[in-house]
Amino acid sequence: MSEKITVMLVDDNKIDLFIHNEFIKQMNIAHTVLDYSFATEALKFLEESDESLWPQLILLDIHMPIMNGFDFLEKYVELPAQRREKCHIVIVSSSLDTGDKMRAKESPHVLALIEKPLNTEKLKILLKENKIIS
Amino acid sequence: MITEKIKVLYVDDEENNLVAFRANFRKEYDVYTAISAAEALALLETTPIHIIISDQRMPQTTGVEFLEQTVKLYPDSIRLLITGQSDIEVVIEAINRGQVSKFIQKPWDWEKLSIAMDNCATLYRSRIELKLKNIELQKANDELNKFVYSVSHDLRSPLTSILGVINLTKMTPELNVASSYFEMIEGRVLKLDNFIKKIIDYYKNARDEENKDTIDFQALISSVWNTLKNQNQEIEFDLTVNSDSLFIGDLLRLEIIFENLISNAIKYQNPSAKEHYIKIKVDVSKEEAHISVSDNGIGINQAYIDRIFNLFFRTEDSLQTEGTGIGLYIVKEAIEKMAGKITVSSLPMEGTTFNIIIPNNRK
Repeated sequence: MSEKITVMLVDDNKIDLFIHNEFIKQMNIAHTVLDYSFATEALKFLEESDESLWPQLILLDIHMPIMNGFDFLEKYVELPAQRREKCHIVIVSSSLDTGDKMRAKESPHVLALIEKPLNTEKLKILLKENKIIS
Repeated sequence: MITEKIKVLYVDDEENNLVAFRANFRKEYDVYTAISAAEALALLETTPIHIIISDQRMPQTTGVEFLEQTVKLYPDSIRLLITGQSDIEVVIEAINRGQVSKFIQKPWDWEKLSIAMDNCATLYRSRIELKLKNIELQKANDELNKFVYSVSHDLRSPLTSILGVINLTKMTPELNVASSYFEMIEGRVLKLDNFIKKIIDYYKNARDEENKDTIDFQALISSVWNTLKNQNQEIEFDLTVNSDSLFIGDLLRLEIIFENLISNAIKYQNPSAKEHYIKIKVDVSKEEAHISVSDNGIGINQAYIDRIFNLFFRTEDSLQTEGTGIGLYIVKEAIEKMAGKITVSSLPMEGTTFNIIIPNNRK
């Protein structure tokens, strides 16, 4: 039995949040799933939580009101570096224009961009390649 | 169309010419004069001049040199050169360096000068008109780009959710849970349908011509309410129409306005309130219609109130109710296309009131 991880889901669409939650369950990779409809609240959790509670994987939506995925990334880099080290971000969005893709790739924390609907096989391969799961 | 009086500056080192020029054109134009290029440049700093006319032969600075200096500083102005000698070199220089549009030979013929100035005025007006159109075009283009991008996202987003749910259904062998998944699909399809309807509204409203329909506010608002009231049976609907005059307006735009405002008032009811109401009051006079739409719903957070009319702006509350971020934008656009105004006042958990004034288009 390999070691399981904590996954954080950030998506303003409740159904997508539910679907991704179910997918993570099916993949059997997580012991904890944190879902957030608002990027502001997800950020607040990261700011206030102990390192042991931090996720190793964040699935981040881009198009969200109030604070979108890019705003979230901007604030994310201000968090303590040693905590960020073990945490990886995968952007999951239904549409990304080239400008969005460029912006996402500029961020050193973004592991990959995946288009919705999320493909569990692809995600699994990506996580294995990056040694987030074994 | 620019209708303001054209401002003309005439520069000449001969005082007599300045006096004669002013006497001749003061009725038709706003005339300014200067005895030297230096004086003219000082005047240009404080006064926007549309047509700059200069004599070529002046001590210190020539007409061409002076006009050349004005090109960079006042690119919109039209330049006219008056030259005593028919010197081809001066003319070539003037065109190349001074961007001069017209020439007049000295001694001038009043009629020719008048026609030349008239041409310059027309040229200036069309130049400005073009500039304004370009700005408008740029704005429209920017909005369209933003619109297309957001639309493509918003159209695809529910569909990808549907695909996700379907994938999940496939992974789930128990059929009894599948039915609840299909309900989710239905919800997302309805959202897409609603969104597309709003886009159609957007296009309908985007047309520029204004229809002149006779408006019966009582009938119009009642019919809108009847199509929406099933969404919440507990709401008390109160409509008062005071009419002193026939009202002429654009029926389709008014429908869009009431449809969006009433539907918002239904969506954003306060679940903890004992009674729910929507009150609409319309006062019609010869000049205008004053409309107020109030509810005792959840209200709008003050932090967002300036942005609620922005395209694709959504608050946390509108997320809960699957708002599209288009409705209030279209409302505002529709009202502005009828030369009206909309304002909003709101207190969280007490309610919201929209006040609208629309001119009566009876003339």
